Amino acid sequence: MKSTLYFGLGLIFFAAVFSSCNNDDDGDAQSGTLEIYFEPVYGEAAEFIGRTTNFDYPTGDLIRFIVSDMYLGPLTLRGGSEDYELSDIEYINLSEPEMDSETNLTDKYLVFENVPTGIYSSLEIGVGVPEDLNSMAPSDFPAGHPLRRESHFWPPWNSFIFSKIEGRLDVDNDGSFGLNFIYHAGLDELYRTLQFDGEIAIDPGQVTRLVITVDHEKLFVNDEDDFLDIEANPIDHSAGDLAYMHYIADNYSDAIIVRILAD
Amino acid sequence: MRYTIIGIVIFFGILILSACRDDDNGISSDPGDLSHIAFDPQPYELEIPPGWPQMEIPDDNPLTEDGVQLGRRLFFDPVLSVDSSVSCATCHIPEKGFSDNNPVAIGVGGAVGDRKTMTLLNVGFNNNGLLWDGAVQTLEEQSLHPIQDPREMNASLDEVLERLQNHSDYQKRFRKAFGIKRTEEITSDLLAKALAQFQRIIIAGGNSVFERAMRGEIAFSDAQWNGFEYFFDANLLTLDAECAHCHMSPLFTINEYLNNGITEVERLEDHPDIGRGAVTGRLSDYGKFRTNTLYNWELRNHFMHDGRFETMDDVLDHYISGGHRPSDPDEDNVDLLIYPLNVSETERYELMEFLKTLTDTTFLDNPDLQNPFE
Repeated sequence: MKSTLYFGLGLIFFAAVFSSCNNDDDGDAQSGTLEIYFEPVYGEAAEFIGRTTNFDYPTGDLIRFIVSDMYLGPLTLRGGSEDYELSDIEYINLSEPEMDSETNLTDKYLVFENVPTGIYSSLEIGVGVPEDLNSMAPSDFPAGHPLRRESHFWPPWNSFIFSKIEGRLDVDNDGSFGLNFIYHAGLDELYRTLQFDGEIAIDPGQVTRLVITVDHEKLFVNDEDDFLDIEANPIDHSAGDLAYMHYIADNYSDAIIVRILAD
Repeated sequence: MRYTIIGIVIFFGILILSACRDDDNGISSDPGDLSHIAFDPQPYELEIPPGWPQMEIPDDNPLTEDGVQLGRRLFFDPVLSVDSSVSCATCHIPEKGFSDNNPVAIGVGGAVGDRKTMTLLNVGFNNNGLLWDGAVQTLEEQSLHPIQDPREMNASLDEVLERLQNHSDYQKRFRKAFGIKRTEEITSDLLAKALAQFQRIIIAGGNSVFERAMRGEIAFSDAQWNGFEYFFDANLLTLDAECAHCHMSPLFTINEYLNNGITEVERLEDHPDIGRGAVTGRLSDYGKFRTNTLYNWELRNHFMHDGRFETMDDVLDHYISGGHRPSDPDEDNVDLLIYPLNVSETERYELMEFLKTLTDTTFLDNPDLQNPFE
């Protein structure tokens, strides 16, 4: 009887010791890191968008994208043991990306550490600034916060500027790129939520990498007969005329593609 | 026995006199010792206009009454220059919106700089680098540059610190501001912190007609209202002057670096001053400079990084013209919102009327911003 008691107590003791060892070893092993790299492209073209990079526009003109940025939020991993919000809002500037020749990854990225491990089934991304945050102003946020950008708030809209796409069109086909286009989106009605299905595994202490491709051709062009008439309306950043911005916002779902990088 | 009593009386007399001397004058027998001076830091209450962002203040340099007052004194004192001829306030004149009337900065002995003296109004809100090119990140870091710049104060920090360490008034003030115990603890780090504290309290604009109109305290005139709409593109049916993209309220700057097409060059490398490009090393940043606040532009003249435009009328001429773009688009990094504007004389007048609503001289009444030597 006595030996059984000692044996039982011994078991409990060892269980406690192993249990605590296990906790110690795991430490940050209950979480992993998710890195998201962005590739701003134009259709099948090999080069990224850039200040001196030309692409073919359906009008027969050459087009250049000089500024491209956007707010994304919230970013949420769904389908794990429970959903996990990576961030409520992020700002990503896609202009003039550079590719690291060794890693084949761009310098446009977001990093999320301490993501709970698990197998998630989808990534949900809000494109723009969600309504609760869009009711605020840059002065409501501390320095360094993505929404503390006076350049991305428009008082007449009382809204953040969700995205800016600016560039030049060579309307005279003389290489002068004489037409500037400027499209800024804001207002709650232009906010979109996208869901990307696919197994996203966050392993203990490991880095999982995703690549988000933003296809600027798909933002501007539905098909050869259906595209933004840039010449007709090269500047659209006013709340009163959002037709072009609706066109672009409605194309986010086709233009933004997520892929998981293999190890 | 009598002599013993006299001796005791003399001994205590000396002791008492010695003690009185310390108390009255606050002077320790060790000339470098400052610990007998009271150190009781009181927080300085910063008055930030409603709706403005909070100012980011480093944890290791909180604003204190004594810190601000020390910074103020240093700011107006030519002791920081090599020959004690020039102070910070020589170029950053309060009545000129903490800038000056020269196209470019003039330092000791008439040394001519390359760039216009930046206004220090609201400089504490700048959260994306300082100076025209963003070469420094904090006011603490920035504060030591002009002291050592050969074309500004041209002094050595060692020399300046020696002066301050041997200056009885500054010894006390550094003690009161930072709690140092000895004179040799007056360092460049504390000098920078004091100057930074003072600059953070230079806030103006909250009592401008614009801000008061936004708060509903007063109403714009018709001309001011129309100008407001042009400035902010608030009315689809009227002129969009594209101003607010770079000069956004409430600070009337976006704290970013842009090429606004003022310099006529055919190649990016031809920019006589490459500005932001020297900081980032990126060719696409050549010729880019900080967008400046428009508050109190009426107190200043000579605008842009090189002071090329003497008046705001000249500035408007530039933006209405659409500026200069290189003929080769590969060499063009001018902001795309710079393009020729079709502005009538009336619209121009109304735009100017709105711009004048950004004047707020009430900061000149703030005793903490005034020259302590006058």
